[in-house]
Formats: sequence, structure tokens, C-alpha cells
Amino acid sequence: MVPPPPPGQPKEIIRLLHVEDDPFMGRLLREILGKAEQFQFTVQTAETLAAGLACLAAGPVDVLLLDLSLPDSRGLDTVVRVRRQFPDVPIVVHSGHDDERTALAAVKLGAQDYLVKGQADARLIVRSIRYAMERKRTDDALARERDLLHGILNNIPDRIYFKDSASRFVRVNQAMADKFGLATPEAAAGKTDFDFHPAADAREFFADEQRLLQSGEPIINKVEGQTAADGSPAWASVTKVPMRDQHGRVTGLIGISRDISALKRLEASLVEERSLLRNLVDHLPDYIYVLDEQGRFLIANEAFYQLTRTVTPANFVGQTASGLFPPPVGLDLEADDLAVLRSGEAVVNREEPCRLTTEPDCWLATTKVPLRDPGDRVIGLVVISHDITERRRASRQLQAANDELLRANTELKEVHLQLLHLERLQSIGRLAAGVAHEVKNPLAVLRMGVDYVLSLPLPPTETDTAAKVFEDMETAIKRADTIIMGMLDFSAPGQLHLKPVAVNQLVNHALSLVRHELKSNGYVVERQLTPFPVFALLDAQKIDQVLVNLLTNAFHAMPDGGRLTLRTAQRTIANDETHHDAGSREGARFRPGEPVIEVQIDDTGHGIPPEKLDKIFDPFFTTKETGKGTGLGLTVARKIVELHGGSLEINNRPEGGVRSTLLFKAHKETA
Amino acid sequence: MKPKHILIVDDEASFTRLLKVNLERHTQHTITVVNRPHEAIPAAHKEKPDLILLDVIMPGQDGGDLAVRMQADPLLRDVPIVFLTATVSQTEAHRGVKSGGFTLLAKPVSMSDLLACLAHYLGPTVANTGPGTQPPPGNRPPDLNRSPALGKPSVNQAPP
Repeated sequence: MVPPPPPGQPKEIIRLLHVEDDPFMGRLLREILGKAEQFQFTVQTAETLAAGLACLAAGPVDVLLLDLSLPDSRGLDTVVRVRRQFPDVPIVVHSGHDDERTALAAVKLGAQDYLVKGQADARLIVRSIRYAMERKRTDDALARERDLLHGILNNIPDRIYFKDSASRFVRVNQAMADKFGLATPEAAAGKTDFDFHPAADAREFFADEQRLLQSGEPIINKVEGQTAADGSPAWASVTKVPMRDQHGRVTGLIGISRDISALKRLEASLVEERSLLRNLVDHLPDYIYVLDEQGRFLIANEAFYQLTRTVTPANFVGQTASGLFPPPVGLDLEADDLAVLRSGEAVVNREEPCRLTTEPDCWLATTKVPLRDPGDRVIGLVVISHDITERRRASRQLQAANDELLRANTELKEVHLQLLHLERLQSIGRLAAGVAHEVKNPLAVLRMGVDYVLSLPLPPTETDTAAKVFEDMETAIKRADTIIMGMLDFSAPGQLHLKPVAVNQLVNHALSLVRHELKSNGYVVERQLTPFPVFALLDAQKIDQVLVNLLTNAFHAMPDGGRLTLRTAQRTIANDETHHDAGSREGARFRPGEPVIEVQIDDTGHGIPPEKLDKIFDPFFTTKETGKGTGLGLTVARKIVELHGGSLEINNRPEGGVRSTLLFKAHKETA
Repeated sequence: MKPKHILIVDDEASFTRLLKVNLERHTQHTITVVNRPHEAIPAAHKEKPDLILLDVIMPGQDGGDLAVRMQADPLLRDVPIVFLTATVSQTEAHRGVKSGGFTLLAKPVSMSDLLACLAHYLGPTVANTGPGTQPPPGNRPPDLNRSPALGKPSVNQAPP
């Protein structure tokens, strides 16, 4: 019963359309409705169906009271025609027929109630109208709910199904039907998983479901491996919840299965990729670590663990470099990494000593690359260090080898020069022997000839002239012979007859041999000889020859007189002293600290032009005018000195003139 | 002093011709010249010289070898040999290193040096009055820019 509204409250207005061709019935109804206590009816009347449909179209109508016997429509067809055009309006049929079958048919066709004319009193009519409106509202709401459910079930990609307590499908949605290859969802009814899945899968599903049906415990998001229609592996995320009746008993289950194969495949490929990357990182010999944007360790590889020894997979994640490594190494590393993180500027192949290991002399080529998110923000740092210790060592060795090679090359060049020089001297020696034979024989003939002519009686007028001519001829023969002699001396100096010789005495003897030169030009001779006797192992006659040669050269350099200084000394070879003569095999024969006897002869002559200094020891090189020198004197002199293990050097003195310096090893009896 | 017989073995005919003339002019020795070395030993056998002046370098026959063969020859073993050579240096001439006991004179040789040497072996020369007769040279030390001193006619004389 609808209670009457409280006094003072306005009654609910119901707009009613009465389709009735009997005017009496129209008036009667108005009268009845006008007495209704809870509702205020506004009634429109139409006498034909067409007029009624026009009224429905024109304005809001809350309920339709419909006679089935109209001039333009009769029977249930009238209900059908109204419902077809206006599905929403509640309909109460008001018919003169008291026929239960017709009434049920009218309700099935969409009417809400069926009243028989003359049997309904005012209260029944009002209640029927009111209930019809209410029922229509409920029916519509249910219909909407049902449509919504069907919409979901048939359009959702998830597979939804209902099963009874024996795990038989009661109903499945379109997605499920598609998966099972069914023409319609209805075809699944009464079937089981054994009809659609491999037996092993089906058994597992069945066992799950029986447990659920007994316990009432739902299965939420269980990942089930399945086999797809094409035989490939498939995965589903499955939720199964129990269905209960009004008494709470489990009568079946609702299942929702979502295909997550694509997700799974993506996940699997990600895992694979990750594992591949991890493998790669772990097996690379380079030292690798990754930091987050705060400089905290996220990842490191095996090589890095082994390099540092202190870092292990268990202790480093989340740590900073200063927390992992002792100062200052840790602090410096952290500062460097943070600098790259802040600047975002990568460091590429920076060569640096490795400070994270105790290994000596370890070098790295380090690359630090900032990691960026899709928004280009720096979110971390990858550091890769390549061990270049071996490369550097090899490079250094190569450099050393190269230096050694250069040195060897220089030495080789020197030796080559010396050999060239020697070879030249040897060929000159052979030449000299040949020339000696070929020249000396004619000279011998000339000499005999001069002697012969000298023994002839000459006319007195010619005696003086002849004597001069013969003297010149004799001199010429001697000169030619001297050159040949020099050449022979040079080419075959012969054996040395070594004895300990008092060097000062030898110098004095040599001076005495050239005394006639001394007298002739007024030379000043100064002797600065050691006050004690010094000895060297020498062939006195040959060294005499050398000294006379050097003295003669000195005189020739001072044709107008000058000062001749002879000096002897005993000393030791200094550390930085070298007796190096690129053209001589015997160069640098003295060792530092070795005791030597030094003989120096200084003149105050014209000196030697600098460009000729390196030629003075060459055979047949002479600065003297023709006839004054053979060009062999110094060549032979040096050869003789070197055969003694000594050295002969000739230099211009800064103050003018020439200094000849002879060095011999001091004889041990006196050293 | 009785004149002696000297055999000269040297392939230089122009030299031996002058040498022979000079020796005959300065001494009264008999001089025989052989210019072909292979004729030297037959000639020595025939002439029985008191002294042989022997060149060293000759075509086909080395004077040194010839001297060795003469030394091995019972007929010639005691004949003194003086080498006249164009291939020795002054110091070698001094020491007689190559001579192996023989006296060695270096070409070109002056008559005075040669006569002094011959006098050593054969006794004083019966001298013709000529300007070539001079005393033998003194024992002078070597000087490369000077005329060489010739070997003294002594066997393996030691240096001063």
C-alpha cells in the first residue's frame, strides 16, 4: 500500500494517456482517478490508436491505459504496435475480455498489467497503474544490466566462463568461444577442459577447480602455462572465484583467463637479453662498474672484483667509492665520477695509472659515459677501464729497442767509416809496394848513371856546373826515393820492438836529431818535462821517427822562427775524457782512470785551416809546398802511435799555432 | 888484394849494365851479369863467384827462393849473397828482417854505399881515383823527410 502523503505535502502527479473509444468509459475513469488520495492524475484521452500514438509522440506520458478494441486496431496487435514505437512507456491493458491467455500474452508482449473492464474498482486501477509504472522501471533497469553484462562478456578480450560443480562449462563468452574455435559461445555448454586442452593441462585445471569448489578459496592471477592452438607455448593469468547460491553454497565457479603470452615472451626476451648482457659484462676482461646518479655502485663485473680484491658482489651495491676504497684513492675516484655525472661530459680512453690495485705499474685506459633517461637527464654512469699495462710496457720496450738500434746504427756507421778508411789505407799499401818496385828500379839506374858520369873526366870549364847538376840530380833521386820509402813504411810498418823507454830521454833525443833546424832559424825551445823519469812501453826508433816528424812539421809551420814547447806529463784519464776519432779503429782506446804518459808539442806557427783538420792524417795530404813534404808523415806517424796502443791528436791552439798530443799507456813499473 | 869475382843477378839490364861499368871503373873485380834468373845457378856453378849481388823481385823467379836454393847447394853454400831490392823500406833494410841472415841494400843504391858493402865481404877495394869513393854512411836514425840511411853491411844488426 502506498501511504497517503502527509498533510500539506503536494500529491505526486501522474500523466496518464487513456486510449478508449467509449466516451462513457472515459468519463468513468476520470471520475475514479479524481478520487485517488495519493496521486493527482492528469488524463488525456484518445479514441483511436493513431491519436494515442500521436499523443505519446507529442509529450511526456507516465503511463498508458490501453483498450484493445479500437476503431483502428484490435486485440494484442495494439500492444505490439505501441511497444514497437514506444518501448519505454508502461502499459496497462484495459480490456473487456476476461481471458487469462490473452492477459499473459499481453504481458509477454510488453504490457505491465492486464485489467478487465468492470471488474476493477478504483483502488485496484490506481494500484495497477502505479505498479505498472514501477515494474516497467525495474524491467528496464534489469534489461540495462543484462545488456551491460552481455556487452562486457562478448567484447572483453579476456576469456570468461562459468562452470558448474562438475567443472562443466555452463556458459563462455565470445573470447573463450574464439579460443576454443567454437561457432557460438553456446556450443561450449556441457563441455569440459578435457575437450579443449591437452590432458595434462586439463587435469591440472580440474584439480585446481575441485579444490576451489570444496574450499571456496578463490584462485587469483595464477600464471598457467598452456599450449596455443598452433602448438607454441602460451601463458594465461587465471582468476577463478566460486559462484554461490542464495544459501551460500558453492554451486560452480566463474573463471577469467587473460592471455599473457606476449607479455611473457617480452619478459623472456628481456631476461635473455639481460642475461646476455650480464654474461658479456662479467666475462669482459675490462673493469666495468655502473653508478647511479648519486655516485653509488649499482653493478660491477668479475674483472672489477678481481682487480680491487676488496670489492665483492656482496658488499658494494649502494656504496660510494669513498666508502669502498681507502682515502685518498676512494675520494679522488668519487670526485672524478661525480664530476662526469654533473657535467654530463663523457671521458673517453683517458690513460691513467690504476690506483685500485696493489699491482705495481698498472695502467688503464678509462672511459666514463653518463647514462641518460629518455628525457636526457643523467641517471647514472658507466665506467669501463681497459688494462694497457702490457701495451705500455711493450711500447717502452719498443722505444728502448729503437734507441738501442739507433745506437747500434751509429756505431755501425762509425765502424763502417773506419773500415772504409782502413780499406783505403790497405789499397794504398798494396799500391805503394807496386809503385816502389817500379820506381825504385829506374831510380837505381839513374843513381848508377850519376855515379858513372861523376867518374868520367870532365872538361875543366864544366867541372863546377857539372858538380851542381849532379848534386841536384842526386837530390832529386833521393827525394823520389824518400817518398817511396815513406809509402813503404806506411804500408808495412813491420813489427814493434817494445821496451820500457824513458819518455823524457826520447824527447831530448828527437830534439837532438833536428838540432841543425833549430840552429838555422833562431827558434826558442821550451821544455816542460816531468822532473822524474816516466816510462812507456815503446819502440824507441819508431817513436823517434814520429817525434822528428812532428818537430819537423812544427818548424815548417814557423819558417820565420817561433817558440817550440815540449811538454811531458803523467796523469790519469778523466771520466769525461774521450779519445774519439771516427776515422780511426783505435779511437777511444783509453779507459777513465787509466794512467797515461802525455807528450805535447806546441808551435806558434800558422796553424791548420779548420776545413783541412780532418784530412791531415790522410795519405798524400799535405799543406806544405811541393818538395817540402811527402804527405805521408802524419799518416805513418799516427799508424805507428796506434800500433803502440797510443793516440795522436793534432789541434789548433786557441792562441794560435798547433798542438800535437801523444798519449801512451804508462808503463806499470813507473805508474 | 887479389881481384875477386862478382856475379850480378838482376832482370833490369839497364841497371846491370851501368852497375857493371861502375864496378869495373871503381874496382878490379871481375863482374859477370845474369839478367835471367833461371840462369843464375848454372852461371854460379860455372863462374864460382866470390860474392853474388841478387835482385829480389824478378819475373818468374823470386830472389829469396833463389838464395835459399843457393844456400842448399854445396858448391854455393859459402858464397856471400847481398840483396839489392826495390821493395824494402828503410827500416826493413836496417834490420834485414826479410834477409834471413843476408845483407840487404835498398835501391837506388849509391856507389859509395855499395863499395863499402863489398869491402866488408871482399876486403878493401883497389880503388880507382874517383869521386864516388866515400866512407860508408854513419848510423843515422830515420827521418821520413830526409834521405834514408841505407842498411849497414852487417848481418841482423840491432837498432841503436
